[in-house]
Amino acid sequence: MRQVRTYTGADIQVLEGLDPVRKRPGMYVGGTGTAGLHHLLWEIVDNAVDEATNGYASHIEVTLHEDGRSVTVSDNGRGIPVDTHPSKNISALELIMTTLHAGGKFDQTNYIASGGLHGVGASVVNALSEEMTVTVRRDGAVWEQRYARGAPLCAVHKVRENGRGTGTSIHFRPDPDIFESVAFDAEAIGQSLEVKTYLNAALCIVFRNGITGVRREYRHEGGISEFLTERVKGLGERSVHEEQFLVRQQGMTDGARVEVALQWTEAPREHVRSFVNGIPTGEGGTHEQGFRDAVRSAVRAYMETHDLLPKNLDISADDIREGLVAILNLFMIEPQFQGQTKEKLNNPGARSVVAGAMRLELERFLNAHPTTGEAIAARVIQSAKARHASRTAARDVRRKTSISHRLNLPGKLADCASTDPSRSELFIVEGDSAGGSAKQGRDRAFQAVLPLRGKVLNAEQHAANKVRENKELSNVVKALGCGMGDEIDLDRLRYHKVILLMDADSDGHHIATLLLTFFYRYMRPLITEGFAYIAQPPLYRLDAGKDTWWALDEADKDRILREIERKEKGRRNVMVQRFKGLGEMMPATLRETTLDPGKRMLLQVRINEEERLGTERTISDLMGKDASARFRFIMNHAADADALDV
Amino acid sequence: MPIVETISLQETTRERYLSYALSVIMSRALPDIRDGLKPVQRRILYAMYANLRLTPDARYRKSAAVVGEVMGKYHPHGDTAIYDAMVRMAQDFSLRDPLVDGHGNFGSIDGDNPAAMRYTEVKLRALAVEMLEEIRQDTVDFRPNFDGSYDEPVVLPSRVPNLLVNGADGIAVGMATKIPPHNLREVADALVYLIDHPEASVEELAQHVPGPDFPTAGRILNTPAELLAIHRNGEGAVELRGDYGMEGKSRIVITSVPYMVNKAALVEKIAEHIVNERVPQLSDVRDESTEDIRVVLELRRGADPEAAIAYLLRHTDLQKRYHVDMTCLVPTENPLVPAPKKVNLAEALRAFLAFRLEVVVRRLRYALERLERRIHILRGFEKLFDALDEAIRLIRSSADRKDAAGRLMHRFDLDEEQADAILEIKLYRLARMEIEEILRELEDKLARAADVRAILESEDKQWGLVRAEIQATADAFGTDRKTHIAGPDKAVEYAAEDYIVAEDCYAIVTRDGWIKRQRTYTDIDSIRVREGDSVGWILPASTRGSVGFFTNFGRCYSLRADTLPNTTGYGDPVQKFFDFSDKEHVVGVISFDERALPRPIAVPDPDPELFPKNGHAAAQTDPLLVAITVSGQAVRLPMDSFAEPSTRKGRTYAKLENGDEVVGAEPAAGDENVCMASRAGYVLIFPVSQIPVFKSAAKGVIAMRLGADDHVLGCTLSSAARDGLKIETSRGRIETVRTTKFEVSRRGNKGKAIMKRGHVARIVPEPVEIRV
Repeated sequence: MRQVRTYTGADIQVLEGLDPVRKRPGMYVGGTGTAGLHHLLWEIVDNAVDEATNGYASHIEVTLHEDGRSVTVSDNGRGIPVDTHPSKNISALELIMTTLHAGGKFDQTNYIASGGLHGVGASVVNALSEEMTVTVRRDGAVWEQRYARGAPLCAVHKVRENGRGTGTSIHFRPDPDIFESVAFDAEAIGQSLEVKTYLNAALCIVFRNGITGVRREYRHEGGISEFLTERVKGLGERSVHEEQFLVRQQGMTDGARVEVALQWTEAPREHVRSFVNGIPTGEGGTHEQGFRDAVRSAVRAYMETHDLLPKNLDISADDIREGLVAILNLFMIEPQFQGQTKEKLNNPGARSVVAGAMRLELERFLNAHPTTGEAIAARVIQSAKARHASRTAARDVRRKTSISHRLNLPGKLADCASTDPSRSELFIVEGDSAGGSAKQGRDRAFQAVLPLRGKVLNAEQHAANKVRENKELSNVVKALGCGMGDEIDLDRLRYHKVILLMDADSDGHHIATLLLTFFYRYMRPLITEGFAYIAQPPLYRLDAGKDTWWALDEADKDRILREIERKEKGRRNVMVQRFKGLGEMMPATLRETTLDPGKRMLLQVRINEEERLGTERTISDLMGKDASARFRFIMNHAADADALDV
Repeated sequence: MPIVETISLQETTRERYLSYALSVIMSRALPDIRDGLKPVQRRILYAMYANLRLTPDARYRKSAAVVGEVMGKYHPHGDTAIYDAMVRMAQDFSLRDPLVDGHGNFGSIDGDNPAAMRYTEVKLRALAVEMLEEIRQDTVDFRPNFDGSYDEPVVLPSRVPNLLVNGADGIAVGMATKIPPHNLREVADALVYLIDHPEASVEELAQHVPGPDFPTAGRILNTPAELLAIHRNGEGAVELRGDYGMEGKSRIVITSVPYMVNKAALVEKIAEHIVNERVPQLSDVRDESTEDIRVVLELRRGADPEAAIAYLLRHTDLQKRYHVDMTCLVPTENPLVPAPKKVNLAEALRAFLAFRLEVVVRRLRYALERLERRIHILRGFEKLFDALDEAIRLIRSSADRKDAAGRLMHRFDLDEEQADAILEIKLYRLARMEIEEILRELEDKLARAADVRAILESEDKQWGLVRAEIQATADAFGTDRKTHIAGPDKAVEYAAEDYIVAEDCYAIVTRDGWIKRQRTYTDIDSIRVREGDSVGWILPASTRGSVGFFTNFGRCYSLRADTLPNTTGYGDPVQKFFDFSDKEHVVGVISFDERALPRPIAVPDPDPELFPKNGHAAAQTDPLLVAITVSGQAVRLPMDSFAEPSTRKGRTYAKLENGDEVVGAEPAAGDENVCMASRAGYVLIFPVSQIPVFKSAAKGVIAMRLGADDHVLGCTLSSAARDGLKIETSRGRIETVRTTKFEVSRRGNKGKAIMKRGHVARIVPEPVEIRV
């Protein structure tokens, strides 16, 4: 029998004091893993940094003790107030350390901008530490209070009378009952501390690693500019311009302050590190959006004003930011973050604050630094072009394995049923009229037909992007499915016989050479791997009275002539003429003579080893832009030509 | 028998390409030297003449019928290609002497398309008949058509030297052709001259054919020597210009456009130039054409028409080059396979004459043969008439026709042909009169045969015939020359300023270097500037005058004020017009317009000890440029050399050393005082006349002696009319450096300290505004 538990008012718990923190640590520090553990440290350090940011502290010391589990953070700020709180009747220090939502950062008189704004900072750390000691130097004395798991072990008491200077020192050891691991990562701490000194140029942070005994002092007077230089160096990318863009805007609406340093590099991605009040916002947020808006519109406006936007090339915001390395630091009051770990800024206003602070400045910078501006514009155009090329290439690479992929095939393609490339054949046919005959005459099981309209683009005379954009050629590429250029992948080739089926007239010859040129320049493996063929429609048409015969070659023609002779005993006048267009034939005849694998003749196109250089020259002479090479060729070879069309 | 053979890419490409190339050359794009026709044209004319009998006296036929006939029997290609070719032969602006008589809309010189072929109707013009008439007299070879079911002529037996008269235009493979049209009379004259002087040179022939004669008239600007060279080489550029003239004082009227120029496109282009104010002389263009061409250009009052025309000739197709390339097909030993060749005038004429001679001889032979056959038959009649009654009896007594023929042959010594002809004779021909008629015919035919034989035996006589026929054709169809060979026109050179509308305006430059011009403005705050920017200079300027931008890097960039964007918007950054270096910015702007410059004044004798040997203190006549640098140097130099628009690179006006920069550059009349301030808080005022005048860009002389680590923040020139330099101290105090407050010192002094603590934070920017 199931035991029935009553659910009554008595079951409703109210977690008092710091209990909720210990019950649900994840809500406050984002988890009980390593990240949560370090979050404790950053709560304390950021409190110290806030003092520095607001101009009250200049020196912070962080000590990781020998046990690797406890930390001391000291600053030379004003010191946490120790006097008795007027309404709560306990020491302000104790109030801060033991009560959630107690702090000096809710109004804007003591702190303009700060990282610790939930007001949970120190008390949360206290709650989650098995041991904590806070030492305050203030008003010429030194005060102290100790805690265990958030509970004070003693009252705030004066430990020395004649302390010099001011400041706060907090020692704590995270509670192993809460955290899965309580070992601090010294290296990560060092790196993050260094970032904080970049963001606060005046600040000096000393990090003592008790485990190794190493003391490091971080101070970066160059601020975010130095940070950016290091970032670019760290990425190992060449910058496209020398001078960084640097902006510091203060005294904006609501006391916000924006610092940005940026530089374009050859990096294939953008690398933006953003911070709010010195806290890294790894997931970005509204301030990064504002940053992006500003970069996009400033660069675009600059390029527009100076007529640097190329025609026929649309430039996206991504193109503009490709290779951009930037540091963005926003100081603002009451930042709202998504999640407890403050990884993403949520204030809608931040977007316009950052954009407003940057946009005009960046545009002004570009205008005032023409060499830099032009270098950036060139970088943007370069990435736009690259994106176009790769998008086209990506679009071309299709396979027919699924229905959705089939839908990407050119509409004119009459595909075959087989999906087995080794069995499939594609006939590329000249003109819609011949295409119709081929469609009716083919074996739909394994023969596909792609009609082309008119003369295809001469791949030798046009730039790669023109070739890629050409509709007819891109239909061929799509139908083949293996992509083109450097991205060609024959594993994706959908047909292992790619057969050119052209009229036997001069225009048919021309189209065949144009397609072969395209294959040679952009899909050469198709030829070298032996997938390219030329169909051989019959050469002769023989008419005797009402009957018509097709002869595949000279010998065939003679054989047929003899046969007619024998049958008709010379009564009939046989007319022999060269075959002209595929459209002349009935679909059945086309199948009999040209399509049926059992009866047809195919020419497999090859590049013979010894002809490799000659082939290159032939293609470039005959199909290239230099008409004089063609002229010489024609004049030298005119005599070798077979019968001409009329 | 499944067969797969391999074929090399190189081999198959060569073969197939060659086949294509030769086919295009031989049977598509190039005209034959003899009849001047491309295959499609020849087939159209032949089908119209021989199959459809569309001679000038016939009724018009639908174009579609002709196209169908040509496509079905001779030309297995697209219908549009055939129709287009036929349309062109009907257009009097394409062919000098059209061959096809078109009824309906056949397109226009404005590039309008002809009506569809189901609407239009055609027949041959009389001139085309001249090319076809002799075709049934075995004058030319025939060959089977594409499917062997019909024969078509290899060439037309043209009496018209069509290649030269109507020209040709075509792009083949590896070669192309562009033969201009010529005047039929002139060509005929040259042919006649060539018959009379078989060794004639190109020069002599060119006497008769001075140059092309385009159907669209116009003027040829080449020299006779150039035209001769084109005739001699078969290639070269003909400079062609449309005709135009003045109508009253305020109008230019264009009455013709160069050959192959689309008139509508030309008018549109002219309108575009007018709208964009690139030809300020013109206010409007109107196409008033009907059948004649009449494009009216309205001149502005007092504008120079020559300048307007000069602009249009240079920037539009009103003048155009026609690149001659006389490539055509020339017969070889194999009559069916001609070869492409670039020919000159003499070759083209000789080839035509040789062809005409051949046609005439073949025609005569054909005629002779027919005469002889007739004579033969008439001779049979003659024998019969001697014994008519006997013959009648003989026929009457014969069993059948065959018997009758055999007996006649035996009795009268006739051959089968003669006997057959006799049996066919109609009874009425046995009347006396008719017999006499037949005998007269025999006599006549014998005489004619003798004539023909005589001609065939004498080449001179043959040439005489060729000559007479050419002359007859020219007399019947020749027209006066249309294109005037005007010779070179002395080129009128106009300066760029002539095409700028003179207009007063204000050149406006912001602190950030955004520049523009506005015709007027209400006040300085109403001028639109970008956020955070402010107006730095507003100076009166004229669009024909220029504006110079002086930068901190000691360079001056000048442009014509007309180039400034005329806008009430933001304008454009100055960097768009010039190649500024990074961090280079404008510190001074001068409008080279007398309203913007100070009036020069007489200057008191300067203090000699202030002038080192490299400078001089010549009395000032024009306003001079004064510039002060960060390191306290000063230069003064003439500025007329900066007034000319510069390249994007600009010109140097101050030679700067060790990263020095100019803080201010201004024009000075000579009586101003330089007011300057340093960061450390020293201010100095001294007369500008104390700066020596340099001939050109110089390093300058010391203006202010600076303490260590101090530098000049700014300067301005003040005179009685203008205030001094406004500065702000680090404590926020605003101070104006002016003569009423500070004493005028001397160049090279340290200046006066204006503060004990702090420093000068910045110069308060004040716009330079000169309003007229």
